[in-house]
Amino acid sequence: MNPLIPVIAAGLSDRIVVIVDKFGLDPWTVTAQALNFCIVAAILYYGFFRKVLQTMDERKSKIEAGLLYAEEMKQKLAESEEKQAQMLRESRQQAQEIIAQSRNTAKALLDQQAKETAAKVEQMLARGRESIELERRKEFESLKEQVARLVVLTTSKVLSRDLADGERATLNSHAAEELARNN
Amino acid sequence: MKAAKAKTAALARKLVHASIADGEPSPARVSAVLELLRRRPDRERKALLVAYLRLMRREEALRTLVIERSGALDDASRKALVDGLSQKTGRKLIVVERENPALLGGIRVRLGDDEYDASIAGKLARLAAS
Repeated sequence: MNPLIPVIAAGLSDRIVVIVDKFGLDPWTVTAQALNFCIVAAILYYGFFRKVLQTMDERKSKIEAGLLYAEEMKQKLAESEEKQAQMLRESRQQAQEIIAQSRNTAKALLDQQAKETAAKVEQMLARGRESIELERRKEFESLKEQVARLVVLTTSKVLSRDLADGERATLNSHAAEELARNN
Repeated sequence: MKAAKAKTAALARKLVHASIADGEPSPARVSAVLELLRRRPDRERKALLVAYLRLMRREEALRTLVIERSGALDDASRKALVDGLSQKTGRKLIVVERENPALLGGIRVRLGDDEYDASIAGKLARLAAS
């Protein structure tokens, strides 16, 4: 043991005595005050602080629930936004598809109309050509008929006037032989 | 009624067939046919006679060869033509000749419903039509 301890302890004891004397501390009063303090503290604790703490706990729970709800709402909002974005993307894609489909349909329609028009034009041209050819043939036939009639008429006149009896007899003989041969 | 008519026509055809010998109607056979008809009942006889007469006229028309010509036709050519047609039809033909200047040259013959044209006018007409 340190030999200075008893000396120090004796010195402290003296000081405490001096302080107690200087501040006028009475042990009974201090004890009674301590007891009073405990009673007041107990009353305050059970009478007010407890309720206050309960209320605070309740508010804390409510705040936590609110925060949780807010978090949940935030999450839902995010999900909703994501869903909206997804829907928007899908709508955009569908719109693109519809536009592409419309373009294809329009192109097909245009192609078909172009083909139909070309076919109609070709048909009209063919009809026109046919009509022209028919007209040409008719004219040609008419001309041929007129020429033939003219030739026949001229030949008839020449033959009726210029054929001698001997030539007629020869022609008749040939004709008779031809008929006898062919029948 | 229809069956009776058909029967009459068939019988008339047989009678006409029986009346012809060597490609021409034989007077003896025609007399025999008429005698046969005389013995038939009145109702049948009339219808048969009408049909028989019609068919005989038809037979006569089928035997009549009309030759139209412009100018003369020598005998050899005529004979060759008539013999050929007679052989073809199996009938003895009656020849009727007519002068027709419109033919210009050549001949045109008609036998029954058939007509054969070997005339210049016919050839020109065919040429004009072609």
